[in-house]
Amino acid sequence: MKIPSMPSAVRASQPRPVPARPRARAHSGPRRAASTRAPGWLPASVLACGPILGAVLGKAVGGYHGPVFAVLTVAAAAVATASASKNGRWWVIPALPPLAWLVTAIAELLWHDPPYPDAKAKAIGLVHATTHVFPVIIAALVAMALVCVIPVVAAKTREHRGAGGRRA
Amino acid sequence: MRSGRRGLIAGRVLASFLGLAVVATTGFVWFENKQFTDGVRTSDSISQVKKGDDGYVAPHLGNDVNLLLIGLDSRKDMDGNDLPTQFVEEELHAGSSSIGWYNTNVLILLHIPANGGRVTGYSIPRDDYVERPGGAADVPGLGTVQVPDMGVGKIKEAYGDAKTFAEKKLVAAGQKDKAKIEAESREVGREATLRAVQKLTGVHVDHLAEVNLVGFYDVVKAIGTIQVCLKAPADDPIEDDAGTGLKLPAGISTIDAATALQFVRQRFHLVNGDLDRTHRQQAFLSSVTHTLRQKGVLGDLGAMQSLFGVVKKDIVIDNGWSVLDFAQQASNLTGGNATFYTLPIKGTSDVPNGAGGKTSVNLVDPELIRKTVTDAFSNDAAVAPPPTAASSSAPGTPGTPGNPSTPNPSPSTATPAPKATITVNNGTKTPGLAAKASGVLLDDGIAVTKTGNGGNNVARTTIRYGAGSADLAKKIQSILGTKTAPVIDKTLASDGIVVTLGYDYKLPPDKPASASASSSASSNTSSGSLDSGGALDMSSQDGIPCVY
Repeated sequence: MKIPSMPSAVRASQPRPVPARPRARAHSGPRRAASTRAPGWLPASVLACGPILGAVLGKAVGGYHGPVFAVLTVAAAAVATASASKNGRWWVIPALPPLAWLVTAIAELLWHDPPYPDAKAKAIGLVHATTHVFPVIIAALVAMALVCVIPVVAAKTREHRGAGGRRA
Repeated sequence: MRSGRRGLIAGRVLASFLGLAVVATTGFVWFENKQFTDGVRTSDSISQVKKGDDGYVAPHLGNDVNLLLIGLDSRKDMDGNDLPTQFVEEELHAGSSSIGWYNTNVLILLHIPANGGRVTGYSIPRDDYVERPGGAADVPGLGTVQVPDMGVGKIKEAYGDAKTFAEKKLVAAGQKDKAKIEAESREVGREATLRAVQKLTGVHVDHLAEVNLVGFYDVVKAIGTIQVCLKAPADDPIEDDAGTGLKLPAGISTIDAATALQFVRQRFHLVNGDLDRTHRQQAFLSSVTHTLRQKGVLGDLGAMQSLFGVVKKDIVIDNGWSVLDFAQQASNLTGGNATFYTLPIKGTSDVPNGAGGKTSVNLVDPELIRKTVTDAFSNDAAVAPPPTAASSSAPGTPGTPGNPSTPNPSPSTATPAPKATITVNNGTKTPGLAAKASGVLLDDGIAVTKTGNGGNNVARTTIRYGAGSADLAKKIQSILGTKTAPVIDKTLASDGIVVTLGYDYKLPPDKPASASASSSASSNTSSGSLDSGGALDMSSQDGIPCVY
């Protein structure tokens, strides 16, 4: 049976049959191909190692909450977010602030020279650490947000361009 | 299955809440801490005194902190505008806006040991006649300017002289912005002061804090009142635009901001002249700290922030300064575990003042000063015990750390004397004898109301008393150690006592009236250093040390 041909304008306005898109695949760990996705422990490890390594290396070069700490924490936050599944990101992103603060606080109390003599001095040391870590936390959260948002925006843009190209 | 999903959502919510809570808390702390320093003028002068400059001293190793407090006698605001005349004359009692210039009338070098030991402070008498080296100064808009060596002069004038030099250069270069000229030229003034202080003391200044007249006023205004203790009554009338108008009895007085400024600025009618003024400044610091501690401000970040918010417009700190660090490092200072000394002088002399006249200066022995200060600042091994309300120590060599000689029985802990109007007159030619005797009486809890002159040739000390003061008169005789028994004087009020000191009165050994700069004003150099007054222990007399 011959199917009656549609006018070309009408054909163009018809939605194309889009194959079912594996929406969650890119970030849904269990369904992701084992060869392309990071193991589940990697984001957590990277997230934890960044600030710790930053503090240790920073101490070696002069400041445990200086630029080395900041760069490694932000970079680790970005990598951890990128390598985490969608569900994992619900845990990785909120974990960054307490983790970064904890590392800074421990570093401050352990390594401050001279050591804090009493509880009051330690409390001031914690205020000091907190003041230093806040901008780093913000920068890391911004980096994480960018990691989450950029691929989505890029995909949307590609989609939009693709649609635009077809229209042309 | 459904409960597993609920658990997952709950976990996510909990994690998000925790993350947000940490962000909010750290953000709050960061913001509050920023508030401390935002709006505070900072100075780069410490790093501007560079290697190779005369007066450069290499930073010391370790985490000790040497802090220079500069009190500027300027009646101008930070932008170079005159303070309102009415405010200067009526509130500050500081004469007209045209006087004072940029003299650094307060120079206190504090050493805060990293090991939590006792803080040591050295007041540098403002009239010390010292070398004031020049050096390269980076002035925005001018580039590197060579500030000339200013030769030997009063240390207090190093700031103003260098500032004037820079100001002229800036104006000549076409700079018209008055505030910029003021800020840049003051920076050069600070550098000159740093070079002079480092050259004199031989120690590196790590941090500086500069406060002007209004700053002193605002500090006390912000905390309400402070308590000060005078060994002798103060009466400093304003005459010919000089004097402060201060009038306070001996003993502890509660004073407001304006009176506090009079207290630190008085330089006439003092037993030891300008050196007593340095002791007043030290006592002021101690009293302010005591009041802040008493009101709980020092342990309350919010209260400290409020106070800092009030005074930050009046102060300049170096750009490496962290209020948090200082709060931690200076806990001994704020806790009263500090001793102040005044740098010794050799004598006084009159030197040309550059305007055809003469001016009196303090002659110093730079070698001795360098040794004294470097020894004191590098001797942090012994950590002092925490301060006690009534600390005491054996009398020592004045100006020598470790042997504070000031601690006296606290007036507040001594048996309170009955209320009386006590006048002590000096019947001899020994300068300052009545005030010194007043100090001796105060050590036993007897506050003198007034001191004055009672002739020049009184051989025997007499004590006359009103009908109701026989016991107190006998006590005074006992304290002074004079032989003539007190006699009743019916012309005196019932609570009145008049002591007229004669040549038979001898001051206790640690209070010689001759050990003062003023008493040797007419003499020139002497071989040894003069006593610049005893040490002032911040923990003595319940944190309100008594001074002349």
